[in-house]
Amino acid sequence: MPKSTSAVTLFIPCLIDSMYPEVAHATVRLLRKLGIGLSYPAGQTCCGQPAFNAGYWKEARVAAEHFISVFADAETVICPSGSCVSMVRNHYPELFKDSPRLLKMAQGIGSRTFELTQFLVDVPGVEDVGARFTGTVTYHDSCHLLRGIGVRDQPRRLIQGVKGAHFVEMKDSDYCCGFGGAFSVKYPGISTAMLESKINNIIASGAHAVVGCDMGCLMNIEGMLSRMGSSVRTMHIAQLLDGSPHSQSGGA
Amino acid sequence: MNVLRAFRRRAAIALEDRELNDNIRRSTGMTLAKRRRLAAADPDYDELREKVAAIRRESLERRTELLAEATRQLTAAGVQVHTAATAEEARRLVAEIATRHEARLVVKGKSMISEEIELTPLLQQRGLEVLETDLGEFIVQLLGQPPSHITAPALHLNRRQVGRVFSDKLGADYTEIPEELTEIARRYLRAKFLEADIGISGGNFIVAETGTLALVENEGNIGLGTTLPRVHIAITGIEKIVPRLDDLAPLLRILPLNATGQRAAGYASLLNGPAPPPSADDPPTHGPQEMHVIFLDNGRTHLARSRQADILRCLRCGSCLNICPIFRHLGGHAYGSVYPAAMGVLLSPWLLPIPHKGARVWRGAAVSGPGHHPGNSLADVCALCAACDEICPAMIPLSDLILSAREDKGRTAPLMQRAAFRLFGGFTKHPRLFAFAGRCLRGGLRHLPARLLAALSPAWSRGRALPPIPDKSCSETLKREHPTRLR
Ligand code: SF4
Repeated sequence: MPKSTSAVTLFIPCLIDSMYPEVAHATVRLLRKLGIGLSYPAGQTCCGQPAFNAGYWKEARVAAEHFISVFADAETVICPSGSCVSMVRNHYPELFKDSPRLLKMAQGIGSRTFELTQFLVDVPGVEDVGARFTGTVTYHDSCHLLRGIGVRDQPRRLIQGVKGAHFVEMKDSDYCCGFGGAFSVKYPGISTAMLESKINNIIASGAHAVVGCDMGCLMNIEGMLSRMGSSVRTMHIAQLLDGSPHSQSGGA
Repeated sequence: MNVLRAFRRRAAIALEDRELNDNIRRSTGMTLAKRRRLAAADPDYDELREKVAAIRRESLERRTELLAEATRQLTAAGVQVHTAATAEEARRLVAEIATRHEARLVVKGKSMISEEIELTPLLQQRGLEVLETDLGEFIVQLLGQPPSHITAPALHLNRRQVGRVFSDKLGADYTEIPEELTEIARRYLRAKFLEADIGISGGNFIVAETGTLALVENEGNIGLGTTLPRVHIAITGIEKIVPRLDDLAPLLRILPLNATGQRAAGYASLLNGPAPPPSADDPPTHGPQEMHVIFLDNGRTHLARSRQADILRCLRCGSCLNICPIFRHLGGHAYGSVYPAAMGVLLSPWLLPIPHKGARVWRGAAVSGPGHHPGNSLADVCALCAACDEICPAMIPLSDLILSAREDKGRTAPLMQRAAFRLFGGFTKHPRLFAFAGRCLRGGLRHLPARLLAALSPAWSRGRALPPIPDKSCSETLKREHPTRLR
């Protein structure tokens, strides 16, 4: 069956799948709105990053092999998380360095796997998705998206393309929010101190909403904002770009 | 495990210390800003970095050969060369030289390696006076503290605190004006240089082909300490040898740029052996009568064969400390090693422990047993933000090395933890089981009392609320809407 160039395959990271399904739905609506055909392989689970980062590479390899088998035929994989894409692109080759067949497949899939904003801006070249938002928006650079796969401008351009949204940079937007997966559980005190710096910068920016491309960071940030009773909203970029009225996480 | 427990204890104290936090953030921030401006203004910076990375890669690959060559050249220049397999051996060598010369006063230039081998306590036990001559090291010595940063030893203190130290310990009139503080230290130290019998320095680099010892500094104290006393002892790690004299130019350019945000260091000394013996015809020359170089292994050969070998390319510039968000909240002392943050987390567990009595408190629990134990690594103390990868002038893939150290460590983890990850790995290849686990997680989070959840990780939940828990995962909905293309 010939594949149209606009057909993409969606990978929804386990955190979004399990805890933030509304982000996945926003991603789907957004891609549909842009006329991008998509499929969703039901067999997908997790890219293996939690195990990999914790030092359990054997277990991560099991997850990675599964990922490779699920997405083997996908022409373009899109994922609304920079950190999972960085895992596939940067770390799968390390995991399979002793197995030429899997290494080749991993490299192939890596080169076809894109983070959502990276795909939109770099592939079809979309910067205005026709979304609306009223208010000031700031952006948090997640570490793996920025330094892992070098995505810096794409989300900013997309935010600037949103009608009614006024974009402001926060200070130290590329400074880690302190999440780091298991790090925030193992060293909550240090993690909280790092998060406080981030929150202070978000609030000082005067933004009504902080937008990011990784739910890990956003869960962390939202956790403190809501504990503080702050009115600053936390949004995944798919939610901002989807522009739907119920786009903020919350209404479980 | 003691290493971790001690770290947690010290980290908790550091987090509460507002003044400490402000001091660290201010100094690291200033250095980073200067560094960023310089690097951005230099159109050749990326090329320079590549060059430096290549030199250090070659240094590591050819380490055995370079050590032999450097030893030959140094010996030919009249330097007495020693190799020390352990910290203990290195300390003994220094003590023997001191005894032979009946030395009473030793002046030291900033040398992290002498901190690594805990040289000062041993020399003091033997009745020697040991004086730090780098301003920062001098301050922390007066306080009885170890350095908190590899290039800025007193980074954790502000000038008011330094003023108080000088007035308490030296009887100087209180001042917090930096120039006056420097002057107080200078006056005190100047006299000591003339009296000193031995000068001890580290070594930034050693050139194999010429046997040149390169030392960079800003205060001139190392220049004095290596020329005025009769004897100069340089202690350096075996990884600091570079192949060619030409290699120094890029190295001496990139090091101050990163370490202090300077275009060039105040002073660079290139030492090529002791002063020639005085003769009737020639006027007397500068320099010590005797020069020693001690090449320290202390676990480095072992490390060179490990997956973290690349950390031996490190230039000790301190950038990965300055940029590390964890370091910026804790400072160096929390790590319990003279080498903190990314480079330290990678290096420290390989350095052989020093089993002497009365190990200083800051060291916390000294590692037990000889050699490296991955369980002692602080590799978990990292959020994997990779800011260090981006800044490291030697282009060491620090966060990848930390990941590999975590894998080494994983094998020594508690059984329960390993079992949990085994289970996780198993679930990832069975979508139904995986979805079921997700449902259990959501159910647990929704139905367990909030107080119980908070009790499971009190420090986490003190700062953050849990997100609202959804009823259904997205896959439960999407699966129906989008036909799969599973093989
Ligand atoms: S690891 Fe790199 S950044 Fe860190 S001190 Fe060494 S050379 Fe500098």
